[in-house]
Amino acid sequence: MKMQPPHAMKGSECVSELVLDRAVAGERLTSEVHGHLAGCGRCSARLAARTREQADFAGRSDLEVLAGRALRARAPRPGAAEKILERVRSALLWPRVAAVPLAVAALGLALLVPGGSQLPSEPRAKGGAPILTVLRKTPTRAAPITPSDALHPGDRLQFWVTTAEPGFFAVFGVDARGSVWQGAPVDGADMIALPAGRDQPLPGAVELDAEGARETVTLFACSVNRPLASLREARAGGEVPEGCTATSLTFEKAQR
Amino acid sequence: MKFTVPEVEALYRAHGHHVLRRAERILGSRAAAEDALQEVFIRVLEHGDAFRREASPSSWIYRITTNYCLTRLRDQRRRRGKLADLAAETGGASASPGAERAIMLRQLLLEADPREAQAAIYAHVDEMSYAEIAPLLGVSKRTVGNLLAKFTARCAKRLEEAPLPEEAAT
Repeated sequence: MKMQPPHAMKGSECVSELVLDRAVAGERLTSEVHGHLAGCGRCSARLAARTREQADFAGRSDLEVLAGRALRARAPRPGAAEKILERVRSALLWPRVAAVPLAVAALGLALLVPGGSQLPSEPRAKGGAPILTVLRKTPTRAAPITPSDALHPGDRLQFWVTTAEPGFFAVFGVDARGSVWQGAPVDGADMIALPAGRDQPLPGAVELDAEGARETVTLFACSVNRPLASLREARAGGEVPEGCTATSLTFEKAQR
Repeated sequence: MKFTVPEVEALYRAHGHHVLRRAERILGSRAAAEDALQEVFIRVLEHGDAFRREASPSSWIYRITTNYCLTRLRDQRRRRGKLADLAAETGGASASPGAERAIMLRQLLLEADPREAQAAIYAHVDEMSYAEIAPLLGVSKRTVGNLLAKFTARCAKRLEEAPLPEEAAT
C-alpha cells in the first residue's frame, strides 16, 4: 500500500482518485473539475490511465459470471439460482479460466491426485485441476458447502464442476466404513461429458444415509469416457485410473 | 427492487476496476482484492434501492470498499494474529523497506479506530481533500482534520518506537 501525505507530489488543485473514477464512470462533475482535467498534465495522464484501466476490466470474460454469482449470493430464492445459472452457463465456454477461481476461494480446499497413482491419505492443494463444488439442497435453495460444514443424514447433495479443459466427469463418495456410493451421474453406465467452464451443475442429486461419521466425495476427471463400474472399483481401492485426475473433499457427518 | 444479470454486469463494467484497484492497494493481495470485488458488489445489490438514488455511485462504492477492506484486515489479524503472517499474505516476505512500510501502515490502520482508519485511507491512498472526505464519513472538515492528525501522531509514535530500515540507517 503506497501512502503519502495528502496531496503530496501534486499541485494543490489536482483531483483525487475518487474524482477521476467519477469522471470515468460518467458522473456529473463541476466545470472547475472539467477545466482542471483538461489543463493539468498530471491529472489528464491519470485520467487516461484510469480510462484504460476501466476498459481493460470491462474486457474481462467473466463479468457475466461474477454478476450471476453476486445476484445468487444476494437473493437465493426457490428456482432463482437455477434460472440465473442457466443464463450464466451460456457464457461459460471460456478460452481460459481466470487466474483466481472464486470457487477455490469459497471452498478453501481443492485436492488433486495425478493420474495413475494412489489417492493420498492427506489432502494436498494444487491449482489447475478441475474444481469440485458440493452444494447442499433444501426445498428452497442449493448452497455451496465447505469441508468445515458438517453433513447430516438426509442431506441432499448436488455437485458442480469447474474445469479449464473439456472432459468426462463422475463423482463418487466413500463413507467412513469404506462403502462407495455414486454421486453423479446418479444412474447410467457412462461418465458425464462437459465443456470447459465454471460451476457446471452435474445432473441429479444424492441423499445421504445415516451410516458413518465421515464422507469423502471424489470427482474423477478423465480425458476419455470410462465405464462407471471401473471408476467405482478404482475409488474403492483408492486408485486413480491412467488419464484421469481425482479431486476430493472430506466432510464430517453428524447426527441431527 | 430487482436487478438483472445485465444490469449487474453493467455495474461491474462501470465500477469494478476501481473496487479491484483500491482493494488491492489496501489489502496488498490480488487474490484478496478479487474476493473483495465480489463481496462489495453483493453489498451494493443488498442496498439496491439506495444505490439507485445515489447521485454519485462511485462515492457510495468507495465507502463500501473501504469498510469491507478494513473489516477484512481485522479478520485477518484475528485469525492469524502475527505481523509476519500479514507480511506473508501480502507477498511481503522480502524485507524491502517498501514492503515493511506497507505492512506497518496496515498495522496502523488496524490500531486506529474505524473512522480514523477510513479517513487515513481516503487521504493517503485516494488523495482526497478534507472537503471530499467529510461527506463520505458524515462528519465536518474539522473532524476530518482531527482524525488525520491522530493518525499522523500514531505513525510518528510507531516510527519512534520501531524505525523502518531506511530511517534507521540515516
